[in-house]
Amino acid sequence: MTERVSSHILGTFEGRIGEPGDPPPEPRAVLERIAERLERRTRTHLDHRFEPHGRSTIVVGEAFVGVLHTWPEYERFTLDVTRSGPGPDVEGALRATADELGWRPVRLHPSPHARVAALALAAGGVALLASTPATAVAYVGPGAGIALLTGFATLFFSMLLGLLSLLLYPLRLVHRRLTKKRAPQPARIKRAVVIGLDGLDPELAQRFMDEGKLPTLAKLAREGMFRPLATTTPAMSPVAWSSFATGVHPSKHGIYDFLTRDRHTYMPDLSSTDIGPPARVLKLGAWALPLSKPRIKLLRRSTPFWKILGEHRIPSAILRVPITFPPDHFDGIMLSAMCVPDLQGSQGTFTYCSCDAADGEAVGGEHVRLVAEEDRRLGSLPGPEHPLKKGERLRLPFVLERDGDAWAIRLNGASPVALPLAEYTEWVEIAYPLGWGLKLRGICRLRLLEGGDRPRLYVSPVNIDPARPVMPISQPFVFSIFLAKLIGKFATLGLAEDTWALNEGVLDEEAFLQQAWANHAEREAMFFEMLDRTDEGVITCVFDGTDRIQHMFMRYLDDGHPAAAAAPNHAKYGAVIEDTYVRMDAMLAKALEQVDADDPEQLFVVLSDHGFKTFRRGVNVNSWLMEQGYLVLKEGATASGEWFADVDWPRTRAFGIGLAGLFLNVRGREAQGCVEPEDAAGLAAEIAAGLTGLVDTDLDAVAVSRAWAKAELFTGPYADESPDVVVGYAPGWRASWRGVRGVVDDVVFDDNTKAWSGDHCIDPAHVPGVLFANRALGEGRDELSITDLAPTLLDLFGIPAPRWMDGSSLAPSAAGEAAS
Amino acid sequence: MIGLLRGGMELLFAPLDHLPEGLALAIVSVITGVFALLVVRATTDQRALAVARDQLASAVLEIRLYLDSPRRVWKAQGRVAVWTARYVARAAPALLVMIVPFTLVFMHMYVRHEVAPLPVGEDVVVRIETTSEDLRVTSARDLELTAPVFHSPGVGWYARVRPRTAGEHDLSIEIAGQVVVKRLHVGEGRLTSPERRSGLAALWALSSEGPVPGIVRGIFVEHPPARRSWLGMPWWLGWVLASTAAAWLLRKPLKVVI
Repeated sequence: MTERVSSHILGTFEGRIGEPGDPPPEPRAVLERIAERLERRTRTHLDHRFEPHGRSTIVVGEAFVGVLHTWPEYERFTLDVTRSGPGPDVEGALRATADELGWRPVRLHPSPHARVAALALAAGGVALLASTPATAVAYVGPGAGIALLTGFATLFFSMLLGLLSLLLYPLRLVHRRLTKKRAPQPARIKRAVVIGLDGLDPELAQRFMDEGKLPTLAKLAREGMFRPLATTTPAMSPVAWSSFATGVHPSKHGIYDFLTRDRHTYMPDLSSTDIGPPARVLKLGAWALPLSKPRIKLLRRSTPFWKILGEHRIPSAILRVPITFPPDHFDGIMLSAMCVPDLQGSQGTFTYCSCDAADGEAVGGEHVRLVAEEDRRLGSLPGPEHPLKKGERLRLPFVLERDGDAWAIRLNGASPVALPLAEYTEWVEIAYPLGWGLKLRGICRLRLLEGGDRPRLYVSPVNIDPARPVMPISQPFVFSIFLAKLIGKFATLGLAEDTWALNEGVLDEEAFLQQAWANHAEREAMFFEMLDRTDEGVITCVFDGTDRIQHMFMRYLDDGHPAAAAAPNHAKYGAVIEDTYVRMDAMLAKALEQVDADDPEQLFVVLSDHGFKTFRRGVNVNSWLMEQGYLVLKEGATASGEWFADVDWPRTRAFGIGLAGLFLNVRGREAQGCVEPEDAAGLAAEIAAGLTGLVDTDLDAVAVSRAWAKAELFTGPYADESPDVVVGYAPGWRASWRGVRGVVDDVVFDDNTKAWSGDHCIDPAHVPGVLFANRALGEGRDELSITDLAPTLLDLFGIPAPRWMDGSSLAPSAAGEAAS
Repeated sequence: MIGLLRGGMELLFAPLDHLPEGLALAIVSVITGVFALLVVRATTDQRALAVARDQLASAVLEIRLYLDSPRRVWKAQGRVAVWTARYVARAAPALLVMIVPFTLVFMHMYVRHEVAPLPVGEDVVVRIETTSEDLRVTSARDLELTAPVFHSPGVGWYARVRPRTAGEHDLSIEIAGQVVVKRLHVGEGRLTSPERRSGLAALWALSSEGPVPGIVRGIFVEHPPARRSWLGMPWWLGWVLASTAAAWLLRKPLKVVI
């Protein structure tokens, strides 16, 4: 907005909407307050009106226009003020108001008089030069050089590139015609916009629609369709989104959980990506110089629909669909999401810095003890293993500097970054020195949790910098750089909302929400930029804030939840999930401004991979296995410790890893296997039968609806990698936190008192996802499945679904459509 | 004020006059590069400049991403043009501020690198721009007048003198009864003999001899061109490139967005 009214801009201010901790007021209230103060200052009645337009606009009299952008997630607003004509001294009034209210001037532009004077001075200087011809040509210094280099040289280079691309276009067209197939049938749509809202629950959606809170989704349901969408078994995002992409069941894409087990160590391992060191290194003393690329391999098999579309000359833009790291090579654009690691190689390790050594380690995070030194606190940010030196861990020294009540951080001697209390910083660049001038770069956000003499600081997991990615996170490689330049730096970590930090009490609810909505704002920005650029083909974007927020705030919707009593501020956070659905609805409304839902050539789909239920009670299946004699501890041990430390493997027949899977300890398959391969199927069926209908003895209620032996579920080519038994918990139960961490003891059932209070890793029948569309899909079908989306998209673009796909098209037949 | 600036500049340049020419030019380039950075930092909205630069980069990358879509390439091209204009507009305050000091620097470097000192024993042409029809040039002990003074009506007078020895010699010129002196610097070294001017133009001239009477517009000494180049380039090109490179390399340590 500032750019469009450049000639009379007075300035840009930034301010806080309310007091810290207050619920953010409506934009209108902010505008009223500003208008009222300005009227008082200028002693003039300033007639004003409001024009909500995504953001809000205030028009104050004839004197000036103020454009207000509210950022409720940051509790802040920015106000661009432009003089629109003669009138009272609004400049003075505005500046005085800003001082009074403590608004921070982001940019203050000189008054028109000062601007005229500056221009006159500049013109005079130029005229003086022009009057002395010998010197008029003299201005060829670095200023001109820089302007030429950055501005005009870029212009020249881009023109050259553009010209070249146009000249080569016919050749590329011919190449595409020769190397890519043509869709066998005519396409029925020109563009498909597929929006994934991870974890959007059909029951909650229906409830909020009935209450009139989701007008866009209600309109889609009314004029198009809305049905529950069957999810995968197990009902987890990596599994379900892989089935969405490939149109097949898990045993054909090989993803069964977030985690699988290492057959040699019995330790959990990431199921979707294999990351390892380079195969060849040159050892020079302590240094190990890589001679080949590190191993980064996507473990999802089968062929995603975007690859098939690309082979038929149909472009796709795939944004943040889970299990796409490293990205597929295909004819399209992709940004990876879930399972993209942080710089440490983990799925998100935050750092908590405090002066108290007793704070210790938090699950999912690391603790750094700050050393006090007068007005400074010293520490070092832990990083990953040194990629060039085995056994050495990178650390980045930092200093917290105090100036009165304010704290700032100086990372490795760089410029200080201000740390406002209880606010996130912008993305801060982190550069771990590797030696020889090399650096390992990433980005993070910081939040000062407490000031005073004993400051406490939260540092988010260090994300891969999208502008300088150290690992491939996009296809083509430059795509993430393009996005970072276009919309600014953004979170690249697969699970960017720090649920662990909230679970462990390092972040509070407010801090978590601010982080979640900041991440969402970045994703929304990239989605709308790409939607604008995708005229044909498929654009898909998955927003996963819905999932994370429901995980952490379900206790506010469930009065009887064990974590509800201790949950703070029910009045404030009780509506968070509802607010999340409402915001998603508003985003969809904005998207539909760019998509003509009535155009038969435009498909607009909203789906989720699963629904949500409360998670009140944990079931430690490993403890149950021990109770039933399938899992055995070492002599004398009564509990195993974490990660099966005291499990007697040669005598253990079954164990649980991940959120729903049990594995048998099969001889020849597991390192210390004791179950004969021919006995495995029978044992799996026996355990599944034992688990089905398992009663939570504390509540006398069924905790496991059903369990399946693998033979009942998985028949595809990668069935051998699946868990031997899959547990389908009843609503309200899930794998317990202790069980997931490999703790085996005599407690099978326990209360879930953590903030992570909602879940979906249960019997899939209870947590279907949703499918909304702007046209009727799946008419006449009893059940729609997430595996049906890929065949549907292919079908609508004129490509019959490959025979290996388990799903089938939900689109009406072309003949039937033509007839109707 | 300009006289003060000029004097100050001469003081700044004086230590460099004792260094080899290439080294002196390199030092000036680095200093001007750093100065340019400081000016850019002080006079521009660095955040806005960074946004413009990032948007430019994104537009160029967009061309790379959409090679198969001529429409998108054209649109990206349009974004490049728009953001180039915005970049230049946002950098304009710095460019305007830098004009005056850099022009001064250029002029002081010009007399050091563009022209050679007056040679001993060779003819030197002195041009006197005046409307007066009455002009006489007097030979001195170390300055021999080697030809009659030539008058080109409407342009001025030309005197050909030959310095016999190195050093500073005063050429005495009598115009309509008034005697005006022009000092000639002769011999090795980088000293030159800048013009003397009258009126406002005298403020801009590099000479430290002060303005001449109004009847004379200016007295100019034609120096032989310098035969030196810097790494095969004209000195000014070397200066532009080296100072730009210095600014480019030092932008991050100095935390300046350009």
